[in-house]
Amino acid sequence: MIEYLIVAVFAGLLLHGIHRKAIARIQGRPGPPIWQEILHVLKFSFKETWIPWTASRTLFVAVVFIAIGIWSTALVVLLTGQSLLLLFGVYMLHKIVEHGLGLSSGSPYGKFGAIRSVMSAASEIPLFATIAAVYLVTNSLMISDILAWQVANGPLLLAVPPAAAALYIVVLAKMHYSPFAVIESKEIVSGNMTEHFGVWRAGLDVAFGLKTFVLLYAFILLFIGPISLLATAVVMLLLLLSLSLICAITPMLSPFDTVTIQIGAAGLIVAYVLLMGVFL
Amino acid sequence: MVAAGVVCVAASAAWRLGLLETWLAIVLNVVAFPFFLVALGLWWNAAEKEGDTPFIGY
Repeated sequence: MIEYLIVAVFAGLLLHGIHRKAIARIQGRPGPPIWQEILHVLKFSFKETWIPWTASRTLFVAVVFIAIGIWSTALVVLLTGQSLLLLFGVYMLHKIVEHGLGLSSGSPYGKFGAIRSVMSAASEIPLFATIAAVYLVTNSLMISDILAWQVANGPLLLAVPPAAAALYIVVLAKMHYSPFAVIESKEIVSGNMTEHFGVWRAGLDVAFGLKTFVLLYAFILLFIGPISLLATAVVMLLLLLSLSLICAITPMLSPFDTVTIQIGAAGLIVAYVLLMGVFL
Repeated sequence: MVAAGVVCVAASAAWRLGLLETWLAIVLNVVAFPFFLVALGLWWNAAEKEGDTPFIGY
């Protein structure tokens, strides 16, 4: 089991590196090597580490452990085919991590990031639409049942494309440099992560690498179905590159525009799910 | 750090051999893994006794 966690951490960090490289190449820059995020984690691990005087010491440290713990849980939930609700419970806890991360440091930049994380809670609404649509079609929220349904009936991507689009928006919202990534926008330095440096930042990078891997893998399992390891890696890469393209050509939105667009998209998908519920 | 690492490896190995229930192996790994990672970083991070060599120009 620990081997899966370690592989997922390295794969997630590598995906982050590929994301940065792809964005740079699209924007006509050379960009960092694709293993840069792995080097970043090692670099931060070797840096001096302490807790700022202004920080809430317990929360400042605990939030790093919680971030790694919840995304480790999410990976195991996927691998063991447990309930989709557990996976999205983890996603909700991540919102608390984002918020606690910013508030714990006492930095005004961190606080801005934390407040923006509350505002961007709109990004969670498409999740509910996804869950509802998947349940209406497969009559189950167990990932193992959803996979079995797809083996018998084909990919859910073809059965409920708007639900797949909803999850795609959710994954996009959580990517670095995303148009929706207002909580770590550069005008507030690094947002809610500003004061977490050294080992704390290395731990957060590990957690966020796991998060990216889990979200992309969840998308594949839920909407494409069980495929070989090689095909999973290829599809994950293609998904990532599509996200990188959007991130590269779209400027960072203002917080209010972010909320407006996400609620608008969520509203369309909720309407679709309601229609499905009536006519199915 | 060593204890957390041992818990992760032992729980995973015991689960593979069928000696440990899946849920218990999951709980042990999910709890011990963050402690292992952070403790590993804190173990090998830079010493605070001496400052870095300051930048003295090219």
